[in-house]
Amino acid sequence: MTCDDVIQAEICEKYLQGQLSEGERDSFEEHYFECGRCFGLLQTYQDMKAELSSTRESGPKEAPAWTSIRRWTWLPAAAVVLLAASMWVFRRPPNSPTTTEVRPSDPLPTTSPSAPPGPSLELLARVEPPPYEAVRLRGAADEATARFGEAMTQYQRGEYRAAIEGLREAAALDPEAPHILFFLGVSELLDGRPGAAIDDLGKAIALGDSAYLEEAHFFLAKAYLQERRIEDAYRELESTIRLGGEREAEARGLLLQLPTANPRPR
Amino acid sequence: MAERIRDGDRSAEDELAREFSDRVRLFVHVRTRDREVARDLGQEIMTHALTALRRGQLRETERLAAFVYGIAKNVVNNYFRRGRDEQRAEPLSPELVAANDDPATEFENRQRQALVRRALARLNRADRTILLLTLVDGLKPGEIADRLGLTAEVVRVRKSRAVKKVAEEVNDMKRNRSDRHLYSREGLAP
Repeated sequence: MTCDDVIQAEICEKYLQGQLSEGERDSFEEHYFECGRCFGLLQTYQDMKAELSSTRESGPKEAPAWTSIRRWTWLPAAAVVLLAASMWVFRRPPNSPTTTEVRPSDPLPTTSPSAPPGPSLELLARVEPPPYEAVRLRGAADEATARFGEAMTQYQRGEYRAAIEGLREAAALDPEAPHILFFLGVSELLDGRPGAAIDDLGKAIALGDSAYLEEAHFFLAKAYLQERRIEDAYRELESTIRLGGEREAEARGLLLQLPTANPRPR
Repeated sequence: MAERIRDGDRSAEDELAREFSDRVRLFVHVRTRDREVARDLGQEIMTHALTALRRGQLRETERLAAFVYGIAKNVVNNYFRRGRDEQRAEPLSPELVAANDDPATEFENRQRQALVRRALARLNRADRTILLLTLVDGLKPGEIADRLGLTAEVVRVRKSRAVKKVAEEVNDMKRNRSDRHLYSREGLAP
């Protein structure tokens, strides 16, 4: 067994769960008695397990109230937007300061008089639709889910205006479904209605923790950028970063570029 | 290390304990699922290993890790063979107990656990939930996906990213701490 095997096959996790065959288990044990790196990883897994277990015993249950369909991936779109928005960074002259990481606690960048021209606010506010993957349901779907499914077929075809109607009906049937409000807000944004998007994405966020929370903050920032509500956009980008998910890097990129497109209000 | 132990070097015995005590304890814990047994049998294994090394019973000294692992397997197999009630038969000498309960190792373990706690706290709640359902409840990605309304693939990706993030943060924090420790020991500004 090699270190790569350990990582690729998630051996540490399976070992602690007792999910390895006898041969695999012995082979891994022989390996980690020799290998400090893999033993360190195993200890990290064990500590995570202990910590998560104690959190569950001492605190509120972790499992969120995710009751609806949220079956989609967003990574490709994130890459496209990041690429477009960050072109400016790579086109800067060689003597420009290099890009630095912005931590949530760091002071935000401000415009200096000698700052090179950056991307326009319009470019930063541009939105790529987050992909949605349809779900085949077992059993009969409820009415809100059925309306959501139909609307998302239109969304997938790029017919955002048509999708909005169906999503509004679905949201009226199930007003506490974050995925419906999220895609409604995104569709409104893509249809050039940032004001409505701000309302609906805000409602999705107000529902609390969900698989859409980080994305909702991110797209709400975009909606604010379209409305030129810069201070609100900053706040939403910072919220996105704090959640530390897949949009974090993209939000950091926007925060770096935003001061040159539009100085932060004081 | 094996030769130095055979030659009576006490610092090599300490090294042996630092190198293998945690491994042995974790090994027994996984095999028996009992923390107390892991502590007791862990000490027994280290005692056997040290005694054998003092007597020069390891001929291929480069195979020290395999040697300790072999002893650990034998002790655990004996534990299961003779029944769980009789296992704490041999009292340990005080010096070996001290070697196994090295305060520095204990301190390092506590530090590492604190780092993991902090790294987990920095994950978003959804990712923490996926880790909890995986590591504590032992659910497979497909089962978690059904429960959370995600795809199994999304669960797999989020889980492995979360683990990677925690492991990297723990390593970074360890490195930063050891750098700070080095600076402070050397009287240098970080």
